[in-house]
Amino acid sequence: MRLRTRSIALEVRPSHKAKLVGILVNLRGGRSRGREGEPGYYPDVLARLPTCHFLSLCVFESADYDPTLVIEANYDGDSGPFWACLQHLVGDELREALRCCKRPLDHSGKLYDSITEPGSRRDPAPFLECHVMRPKAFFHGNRGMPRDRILAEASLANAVQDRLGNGEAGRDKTAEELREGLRTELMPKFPWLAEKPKPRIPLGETALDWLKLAAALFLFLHLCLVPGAVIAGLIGDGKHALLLGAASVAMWAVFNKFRKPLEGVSTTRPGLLLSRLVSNAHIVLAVLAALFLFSWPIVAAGNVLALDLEWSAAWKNSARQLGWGIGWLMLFILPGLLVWMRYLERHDSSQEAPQTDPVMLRQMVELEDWIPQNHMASVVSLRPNIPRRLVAYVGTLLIHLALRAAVRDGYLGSMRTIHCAHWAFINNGSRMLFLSNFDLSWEAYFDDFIEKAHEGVTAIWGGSVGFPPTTMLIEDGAAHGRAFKRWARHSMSPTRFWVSAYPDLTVDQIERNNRIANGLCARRLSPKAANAWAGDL
Amino acid sequence: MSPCQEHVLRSGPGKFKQWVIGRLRAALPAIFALLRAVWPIAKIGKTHLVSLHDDVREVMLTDCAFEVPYGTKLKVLMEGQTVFVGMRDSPGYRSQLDRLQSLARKGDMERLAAAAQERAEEIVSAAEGELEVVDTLFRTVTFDVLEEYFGVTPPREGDMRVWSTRMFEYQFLASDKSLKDEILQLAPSLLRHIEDIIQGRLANGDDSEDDYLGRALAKQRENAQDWDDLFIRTMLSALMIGGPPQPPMVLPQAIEQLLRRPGALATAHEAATKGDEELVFGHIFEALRFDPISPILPRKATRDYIIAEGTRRAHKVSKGDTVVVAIQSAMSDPRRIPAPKEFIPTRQHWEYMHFGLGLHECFGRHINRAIFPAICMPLLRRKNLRRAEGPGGHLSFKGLFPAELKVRFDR
Repeated sequence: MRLRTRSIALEVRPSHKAKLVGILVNLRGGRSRGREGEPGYYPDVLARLPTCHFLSLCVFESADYDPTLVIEANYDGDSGPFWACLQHLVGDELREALRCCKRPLDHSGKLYDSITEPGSRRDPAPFLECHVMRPKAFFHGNRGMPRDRILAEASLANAVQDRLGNGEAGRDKTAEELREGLRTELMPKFPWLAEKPKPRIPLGETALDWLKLAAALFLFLHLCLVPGAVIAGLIGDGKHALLLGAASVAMWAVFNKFRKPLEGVSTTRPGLLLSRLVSNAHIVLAVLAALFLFSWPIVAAGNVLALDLEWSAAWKNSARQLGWGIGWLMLFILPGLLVWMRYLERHDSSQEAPQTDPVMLRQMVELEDWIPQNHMASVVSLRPNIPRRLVAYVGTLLIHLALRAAVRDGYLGSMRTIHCAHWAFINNGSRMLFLSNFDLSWEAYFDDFIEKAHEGVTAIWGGSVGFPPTTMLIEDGAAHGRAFKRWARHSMSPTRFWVSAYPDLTVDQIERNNRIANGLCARRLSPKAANAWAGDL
Repeated sequence: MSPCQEHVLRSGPGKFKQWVIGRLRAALPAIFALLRAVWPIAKIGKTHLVSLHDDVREVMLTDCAFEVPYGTKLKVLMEGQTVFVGMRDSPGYRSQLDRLQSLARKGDMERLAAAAQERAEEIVSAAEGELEVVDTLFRTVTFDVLEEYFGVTPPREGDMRVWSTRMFEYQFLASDKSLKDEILQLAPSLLRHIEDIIQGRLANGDDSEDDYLGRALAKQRENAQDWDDLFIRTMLSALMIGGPPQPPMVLPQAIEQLLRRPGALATAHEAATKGDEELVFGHIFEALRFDPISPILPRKATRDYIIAEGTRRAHKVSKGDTVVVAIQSAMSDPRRIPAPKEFIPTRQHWEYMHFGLGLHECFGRHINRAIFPAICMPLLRRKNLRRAEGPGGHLSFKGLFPAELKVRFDR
């Protein structure tokens, strides 16, 4: 069962903001169990949302835009049944909350009217579904783990812990003897130990992830080959070589002049992007070779159709065009794009000390650190120029595809504290929404970002208004630790209602529980594997 | 088929017609799936068939635009008196409902469940490994228990089971001439019988409050205006028509569905053995999702209305049109119901519409909730519950009424 991440953003009538906040707060207060006001633990909610991992509702407030209601949901399986469960859980409150929102100006206006008119009993789920957004990028720390499996394995791990007690029980046994003993003892209570665990990420899904990444990269790079290939069709090789040489020397001269960070901006080793490219030269070459091979038949077919060439001549001609295309790509287009980006970066404004409303800040802090997990909700405006937007849109997509394909173990860089996080564009793509469910405190989470994953974070958020100054797309930016934290806090709003299905479990614990469960499911383990398994106990 | 059984149900349609009804019933899930996909709100003449979960809920919850069409027949049955079952939302409706609800007492359901289970256990124990369940078990227990609970004792002349079942059939299912003629005889008989019981209790000075009638008479002593004999008689008559005929229709269908699913039958047996009545009820309700007592319910539009307004399937219904809501389809709609093809006895209550929805949600739902598992548990507890050999081992119908189902079990 696949974990889905979805969000809904609806503009709120400013006059109804206080009422809406009241509805969301009552939702929390009326349902809290355990410590008064404790967010994240609502057994009654979780029982009636049986596929939900995390659910949050918050109202964003800013001087730049009218309040915005955001509903975030992370759940297993199909969407329709989830929204139905939600409406049966808090349908009346949802209807009241929608009454505080602006009537949509699009096709859903009539639906909105019929749901919010006085005395209406129509379900709000169809309206919510009209406004559901698929995230542009998302990350799941425990990928491939449905909620039921996480909870079942946590229960098993607790049972194992109870059996082992203070460790005396397994003192004189080998790891395999200990494992077999526990397996036999726990089998009646956990009959699923007799079954082979399902693969968390099926082979088909893995193949599809890589295919999507390859297709996106291919499309982008293939389009970049067009200028070189067109010029190759217009002029001869000699003149072409002279033109490319002159253009690339000029471009590289400009690039060299602009590539270094401005004074006071540099926080990391300059030239990070270039050094990454050089150290991964073999990958770059492999990508170019693949690009050539996959583009060749396409360009050859184009030659046959457009120039009426024989296939033998078309293959030869297209190889020449592709060669020039790759030359222009590497020597002129990519440096050109970076120069353009550097020009923008040098003229971008950034906000060193954004003002955060002290009341909001206090509310945020009050809601944090009740349990080992926390929630963060942020909305930022994107810089208004087209190239910046394009980089934000395309970059987010490519980062998402790369994360899906390459990150299988929950580690983002060297951090593994994120359960579910996602980015989505709202208000016609003019703002970027970020919602995250993570372990530890907000401060620790951002310290991790700054120290371990600032390049990716800079790539995604670099196009946002007020973000700390960046260099070459991925350098600096988030590495300006204090400025980045101030900017992020400024963009956040308190999460008024938040539910976690497993509030006591960290990403690491879930992975550990999974290893324990998988070990106990196995009929036999080699001594080495058994020792590794016992290391988790 | 027992002689009694022959007596309670009218002779059904011809063999061919019964076969067609059976095939149609079996094909309903596929028909509804097709409608949901290609024609979610079908219109034929002045009748609209609604099949999506969202739209079914919308129609059933919007009682200000869609009323139940039961009022006319109820007046025939009640000699012109109105009953909340056929009324629109109004002070009169609320008043009747409130008065009737005020008769229920804390602990009633536990008492009913205990009585039903005890009676069912007697019958199942007395059977020697083979039992016809429709009449011998379900109808007998239901009438015995509910007659006592409502305070409506069996008539000396006539058979309450026949009266109730016939009038239920007339009210909700059929209106052929022979049935109408029969109803014109039976309806006054039931009303007179209840009037006699009331007068008898008043004459005897019986002030016990163990049953609905006793409690209603107690209320009468406090407030004669709201609790006059006519009101008490009409309400008790409505309860006897709407209540007891249902379990003998519903429960055989549930058992038939369980017998078709050995896995589900095994878990139902386990739940019954452990005394987990909630899980047994879950099995019954889930089984009924595959073959509900009523796959469709009728409504009448009281004003022009657009169903699913604001969506691409928005559909106008004119005042006076008939709207048929396919609750079986709504309970199998994968757009809203998780894994609708799977048998999951632990589903959430909103996934079911067996008791209807909104203003006219079944008045007897709490009673049914209590007695369904109680009647079935003694049977489901038996080891190796299976179909009897021969045609009797498969549920047969007379028209839309379950007629016979024989099961065997280890003693």
